[in-house]
Amino acid sequence: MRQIRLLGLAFLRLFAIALSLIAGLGAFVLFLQFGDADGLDALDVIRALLILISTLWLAWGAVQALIGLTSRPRAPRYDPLKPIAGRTVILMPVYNEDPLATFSRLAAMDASLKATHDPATVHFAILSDTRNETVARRELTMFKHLVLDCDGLGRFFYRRRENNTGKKAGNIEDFFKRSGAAYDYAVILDADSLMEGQTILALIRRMEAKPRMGLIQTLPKVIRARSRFGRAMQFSASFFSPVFARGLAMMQGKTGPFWGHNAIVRVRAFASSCGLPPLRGNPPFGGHVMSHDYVEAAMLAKHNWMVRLDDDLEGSFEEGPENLVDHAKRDRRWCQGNLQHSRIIGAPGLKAWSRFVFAQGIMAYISPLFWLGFILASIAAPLLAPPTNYFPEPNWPFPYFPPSEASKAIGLFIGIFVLLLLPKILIAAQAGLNGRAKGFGGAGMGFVSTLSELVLSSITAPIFLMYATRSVMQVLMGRDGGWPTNNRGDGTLGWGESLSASWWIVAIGVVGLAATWAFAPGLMLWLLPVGVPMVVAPAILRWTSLPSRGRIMGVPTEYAPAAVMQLHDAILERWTVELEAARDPSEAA
Amino acid sequence: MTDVRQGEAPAPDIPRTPEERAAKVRDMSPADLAAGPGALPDAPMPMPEQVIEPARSLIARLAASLRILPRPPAAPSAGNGL
Repeated sequence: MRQIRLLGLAFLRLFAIALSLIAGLGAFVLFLQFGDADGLDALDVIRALLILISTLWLAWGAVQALIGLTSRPRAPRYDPLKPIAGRTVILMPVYNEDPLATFSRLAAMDASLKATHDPATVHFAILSDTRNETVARRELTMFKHLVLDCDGLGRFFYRRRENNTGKKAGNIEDFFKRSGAAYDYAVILDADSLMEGQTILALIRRMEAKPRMGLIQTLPKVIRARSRFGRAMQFSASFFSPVFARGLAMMQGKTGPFWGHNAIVRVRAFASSCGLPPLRGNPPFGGHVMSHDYVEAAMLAKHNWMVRLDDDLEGSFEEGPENLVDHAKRDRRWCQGNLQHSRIIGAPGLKAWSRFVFAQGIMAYISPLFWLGFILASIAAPLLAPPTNYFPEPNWPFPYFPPSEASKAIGLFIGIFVLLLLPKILIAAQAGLNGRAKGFGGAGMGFVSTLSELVLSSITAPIFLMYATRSVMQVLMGRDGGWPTNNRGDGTLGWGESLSASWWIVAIGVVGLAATWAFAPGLMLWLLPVGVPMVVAPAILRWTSLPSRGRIMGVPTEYAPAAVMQLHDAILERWTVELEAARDPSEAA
Repeated sequence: MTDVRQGEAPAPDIPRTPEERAAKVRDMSPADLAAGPGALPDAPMPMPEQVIEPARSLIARLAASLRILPRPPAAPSAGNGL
């Protein structure tokens, strides 16, 4: 039985890879035929190779969605009523966060756990790496408030590190080294994570049901988005991501993903497998591992612990960036972390799938460079191409006009668009048919939201392309990014902020379109969808950061907030009033 | 109101009733609370460092295989007949 399962898994993985390869090779051949119309040159071959890699990567995402569409999430076998024997700690690492917002999330999760009336032992530990002394003082005050409010003496803990060596990974590692033996399981959160008590208990029971289980990752849904950009991300994470994640889950075997938060780990497994030393050399490629989660998942799998994505579990939430600039800042960090994995991919003893996952992560960040390379090479191609020879046969009086292969280029263009759009349209259709769209305002509204998301992501794609390219180049040159800071709580960007974050994109867009007009006017129409959003990038940054209301891109948690979200809202409101009342009048003055 | 957590006996230095616990917390400064009963449990667990990168990078290994870089020394022979 086990062998049949392994065979099935190998077949599915090979099938997915083969399908992506076929799509990539198809694009490669089509482009070569197109380029051959006026004689094949080196630039044609380079462009064909760039389109091969880019299409292969697009197809890999599409295949994952198609696999995800063929099945539904299923709970693994376990007894949901079995008494929990192990001790669990919920870890919330914080770093200069607003203590009112973060600590009230812990209070909400505690209230949600209490509401289950389950006698399981679940403690909470706030692991502070905060450097700002004012925030640190507020953390202490809020911790006392939290302990009092939740009757949490002996269950809630707080510690602040003197130095934040190793960042979040070092923070968690410090906890395991200091207190790990007190617990069997640890639920690792982010400062913006929120989980239902029932979800936490289900995670613990699933760990207890499988003694070789090292880590279970949930699929967190984005909540509380307010801006146009934030709500589009929220809709995408809620509507499309479960299907992509399903595809991933079908191919994961025992080497599933870890995304760094909203997951449970077996403390013994994690401590014995995931001690990560700094990499040789200096950052960005050396030093402490930045995207530690992928590495920890790989190390657990290497030591024969199971790592699994349980995408059937609901009640797991996180918050996301509200504007493109904040998203780009986060992506800059992830980009460096993923490129750093190029040093780890060859580590001895890793499972083949773990290496493949590292390669995927690297590819996710360098793929925009292939698109950009293709565009630049296409603009340069007419300059470098030899003049067309209309009289290839000596002494032949009539000119020879090479046949147009524009149909090949159009076919390729359509194929790429199908790879980009089809998965999302199929997901919307399936959601309409199986009733999942009801939570999104119905089948019609689900479809309208899908189209809106497609339009918005198409408009913002060239801006993402530029930010991603800049991130990769900065990492390759060993530099840190100098991102403008967004200081507003609601994420709205002013004109000044938008302009300072994107003037260089505008400049590149203007130069790119001018160069196309001058050297390759035939490409102008093709490049306008890329060039125009770049030229108007400041307006896009600002417009997408503005507050959004209405039913388009509505998600289930907007129509009916989850129980733990309601608990959090109530606690946050009550604490705000209590803290305001308790504030020293002289301080208020 | 639930106890510390249903089914779990409170630690010896933790008062048994919610009222006593609240009184104890109120009497403490935030710093004392974090350094005292709110401090992480002292239960160390070893976390050995793992090997997460190859001894030589891929480029160095490729270069060595092409004899551009010197190859790393081989392990000493175990001797004849072994």
